[in-house]
Amino acid sequence: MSSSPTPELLDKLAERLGSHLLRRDAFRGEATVVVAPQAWLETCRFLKEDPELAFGLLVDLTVVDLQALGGSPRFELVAHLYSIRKRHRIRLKTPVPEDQAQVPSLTPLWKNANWLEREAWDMFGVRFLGHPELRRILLYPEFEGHPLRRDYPLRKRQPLVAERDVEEPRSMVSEPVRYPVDPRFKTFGV
Amino acid sequence: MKPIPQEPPRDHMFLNMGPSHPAMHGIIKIQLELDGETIVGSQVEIGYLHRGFEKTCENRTYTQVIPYTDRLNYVSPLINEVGFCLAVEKLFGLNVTRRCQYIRVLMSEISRITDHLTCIGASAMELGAVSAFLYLIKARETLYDLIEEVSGARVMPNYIRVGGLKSDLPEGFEERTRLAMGEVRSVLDETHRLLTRNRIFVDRLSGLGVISAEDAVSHGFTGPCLRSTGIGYDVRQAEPYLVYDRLDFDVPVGETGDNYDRYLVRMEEMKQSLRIIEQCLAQMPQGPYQVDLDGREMTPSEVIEGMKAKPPLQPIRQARIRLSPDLEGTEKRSVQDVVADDKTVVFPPKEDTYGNIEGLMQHFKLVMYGHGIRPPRGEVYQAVEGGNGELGFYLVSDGTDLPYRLRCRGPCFHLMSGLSTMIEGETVADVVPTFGSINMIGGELDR
Amino acid sequence: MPTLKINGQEITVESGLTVIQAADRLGVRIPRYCYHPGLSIEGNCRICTVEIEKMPKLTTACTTPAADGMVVWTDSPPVDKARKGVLEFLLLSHPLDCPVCDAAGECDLQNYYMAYGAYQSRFAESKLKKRKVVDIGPTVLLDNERCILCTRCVRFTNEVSRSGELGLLNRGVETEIGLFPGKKLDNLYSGCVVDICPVGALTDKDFRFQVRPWYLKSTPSICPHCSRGCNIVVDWQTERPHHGGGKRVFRLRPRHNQDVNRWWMCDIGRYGYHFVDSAHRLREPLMASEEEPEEGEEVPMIPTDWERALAKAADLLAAKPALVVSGDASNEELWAFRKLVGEEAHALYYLPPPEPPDHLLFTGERSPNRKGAELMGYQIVLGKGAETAIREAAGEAGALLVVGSAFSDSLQRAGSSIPIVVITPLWKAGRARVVLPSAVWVEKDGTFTNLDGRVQRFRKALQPLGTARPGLAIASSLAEKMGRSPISAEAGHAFASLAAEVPAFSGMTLEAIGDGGWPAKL
Repeated sequence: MSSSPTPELLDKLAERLGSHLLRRDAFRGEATVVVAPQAWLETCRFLKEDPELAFGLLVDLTVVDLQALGGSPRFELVAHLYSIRKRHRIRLKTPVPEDQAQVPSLTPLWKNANWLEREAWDMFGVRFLGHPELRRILLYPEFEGHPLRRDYPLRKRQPLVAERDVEEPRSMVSEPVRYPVDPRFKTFGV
Repeated sequence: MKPIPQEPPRDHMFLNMGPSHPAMHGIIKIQLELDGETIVGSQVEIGYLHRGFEKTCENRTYTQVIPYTDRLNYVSPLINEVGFCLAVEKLFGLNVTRRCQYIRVLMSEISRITDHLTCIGASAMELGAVSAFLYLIKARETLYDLIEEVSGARVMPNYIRVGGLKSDLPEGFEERTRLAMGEVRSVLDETHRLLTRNRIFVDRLSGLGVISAEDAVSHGFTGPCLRSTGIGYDVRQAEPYLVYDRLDFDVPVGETGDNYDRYLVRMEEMKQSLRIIEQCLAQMPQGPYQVDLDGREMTPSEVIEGMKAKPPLQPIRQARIRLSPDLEGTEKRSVQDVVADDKTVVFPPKEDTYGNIEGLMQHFKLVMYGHGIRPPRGEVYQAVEGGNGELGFYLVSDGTDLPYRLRCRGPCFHLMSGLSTMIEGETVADVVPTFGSINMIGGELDR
Repeated sequence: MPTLKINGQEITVESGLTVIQAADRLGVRIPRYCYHPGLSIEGNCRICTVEIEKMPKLTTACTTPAADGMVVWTDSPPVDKARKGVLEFLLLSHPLDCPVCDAAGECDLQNYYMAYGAYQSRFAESKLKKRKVVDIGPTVLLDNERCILCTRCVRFTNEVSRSGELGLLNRGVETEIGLFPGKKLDNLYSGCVVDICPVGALTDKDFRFQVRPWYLKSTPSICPHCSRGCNIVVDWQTERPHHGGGKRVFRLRPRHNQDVNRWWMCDIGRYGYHFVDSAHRLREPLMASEEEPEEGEEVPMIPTDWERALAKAADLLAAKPALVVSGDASNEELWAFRKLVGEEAHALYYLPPPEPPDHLLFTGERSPNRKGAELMGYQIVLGKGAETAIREAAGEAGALLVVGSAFSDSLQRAGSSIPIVVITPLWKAGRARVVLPSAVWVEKDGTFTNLDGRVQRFRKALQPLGTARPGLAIASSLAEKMGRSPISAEAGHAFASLAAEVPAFSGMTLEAIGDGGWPAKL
């Protein structure tokens, strides 16, 4: 069964995007929309906040390296969005050139974009502008290269990592501390 | 989560939970900044079980990828296999037989029950309720016995194929499944009596690990963790795949989004899975088994020589083949009802492979490196409801026999991104039940 | 100029073409067994059946001339049914040999069954037994059970090799391919019948059971064994050394080139690849020992490293060098070595004495680049004349630079009055001061000029064995060490310099030559 948004909604999106819409595809009941990189953040915001589209769930954010297919530009950033209320899905893509592999970050819109974009950076080397802390997530910091790129050999060996010095820990407090208000703890007066 | 780069106050302590810790399911490191026992800041580090699943799968044929998908969520492996095979079949535009769909649903629900049993069992054990753990694991063993009967392996079944299954259900399976369901039901009742209104259990779980519905959606939660916050999103009902639209089941939804709600949602989901299994067994279309003329079995080499003999040894078309034990389940009567009709995708039954040249060529071409299953160019995304939420496979095919890009959207990844939100403000001891209630599976998280 | 429509696409072709040829032009692939563009048309397999509107029955595309206004359908339901029927008949008695058949992976029965057949077999009888593994010649084995009687091999031996060894014997279901009495399939093109056989009935003894074709990688190249320069494909693999006893090159196949060799190649070239992985391949440089040998003993050759060997060679060649080139030296190498020794030096190109050419491909000259050497001003010396020429050159020179593997004992003696530096891929023993291992033709990039002056490109397929280097790279290093004007080690640049200096090559570039060759300008 098709999970694509209705054609009217897709036309509404196309109208809103104007010239930034590069391509529309439909395959096996799935809708794919390709936008220009300049419109990436704005498109996602529109898809999330428009009440008829209402794509509130960022299902997945990943990159496809088209180098082995001779694709140009080399990378394609792919986001899957889902609307729980409307029960429709959309695949949003944007081409990312190799020499300028940067796109705006989606962290202002969705919280899991933080980790998803860190994984995209880790595996492909695509930068996300505005990301609070773009560092490796699945691999260790001394890892060299971006392994899911097609030119990274399958069986490449990494150099041995020297033992790290123990660093002083930095504070991880992110918001004002909320101490537990559970009345049980009141009995342990300090 | 943004670490503020400043000097921490002198009385804050930094503690590593993990990567090697008795209560960490799988391997994960949670760095905690503690003020006394209260967690004031935390950072979750993952990647300890990263095995390069996606890169490996770019270098394996579609059939060779299936054992790798087993090892993603290794407590509910059949759901992973179903998800991947559905994605490939979507690329082909292939429909599997009705019986095959029912069997896939049956196996998925059995896997879902094993997943939830493990989760609740491990959670309970970490809080000290070791007996509950042992009861639940004993129930899980009955399910593993079922899976072993069907596929030959308890934990890594490698049972689902593109276009069908490895083979049909063995004889007497329905009877044994009903017995196993009875066993699971009684264990669930026992667990309810032990845990659900247990003072210590309730105190340790309720009101803790709370996450609001908006935060949950923003973090990309799906599955029991999202449903515990009140949002009733289940892929099986929102986008029914296989035969879920013909089955009658409820999706339990919680209220507060705390650990206790997640526990209740999982317990109720298991009950619903049992209901689905019963309906599957009742509704499954019975396929006719092939009737043999003679009783005599032949080895494959006898069949080939028999084809050349003048006069022929016996009607070759109806011969029963005696296969070596590792090929059992690939005879015609075991596969004819559960594989799709497309000869360029599914393997022929062994009578055809050994009995006629067409079957041999078909088998050969599907196995040969560089040939095999070749879906058309395109990309699909297939979501199934895994034990922890929406398990998605994004598959890009370039027309060759190797997937160009296989992306697994593991639900645990998003759940773990929200862990910091859930544990900040609580005590160290509360990390254990919170983390247990998320049911993080390392294979799915790190791939 | 008839215009016809095939599968809805229009094409205009010259008159005289058949429907199957017009379809090939358009890119529509019609399956075929008995039709081969290089052989006469028979139309006995019936699998190229197509539907032509207004014709009462389905017709074979290979026998029907393309006519104006034809509307042809190659994939309509009646055609599909007919093809399935043809396949079913052909497969009735076909043995279940795929696991042991060499053709598996390249077999047209397999390919067409998966693409066009895919029907459920209804065969419940016993298959016909015929003779298998019939030795019909020094290079080919026949398996009658697998044969589908397309008669491509019979037509080949009648029309192309004109030797007439094969024919159809018996009739009805007992029909089989066989040798005429007293004959053996031993003509110079016997290997070609294996190429054209669509199934595994005729198999190559040399390739039998060596490796599965889907493990092989293919690289276009040129045959280096005579001056025809037949276009070939080198099939090689290195990832699975347990197949084929560790060899890297498994077979050579002809590549279609309408102007040079069309679809054929001779056996000399086809089986002339074993030296690539032979035990006599030199893997590291050798230098003659400085010590005086014992009475009557040869000077021992000591393995050394490239730095020392190159230094010694440069040292020896500083004195007026003479040059003798043989074997598979490419155009770039001929030019590079000529530049290295200087225009005034003696430059000889040695080939074995020529044999009589045949009616088809073999030219009789056992060197791929004699024309190239001629165009670059080398003196061509043959057979015995070579000794005299070398002796003469040695008399006037201070050192002898020998490139290539044809450096026989007699030639060594002819040149032994002066120090000899040898650059060769194969080495057994000899009188040289320095021996540098070079790469063979499959391990380097370059071009050959065939006897018509056609410049053809061959591509690198493998890495050189051991520490061997392509001749061009050695020339480049020597030029650097000897203080000569620099020579590029990269084939493209070397060819560009060559094209700039030698008028016969002017205007050519390596990319433009491509895999089709640059026709002669003479």
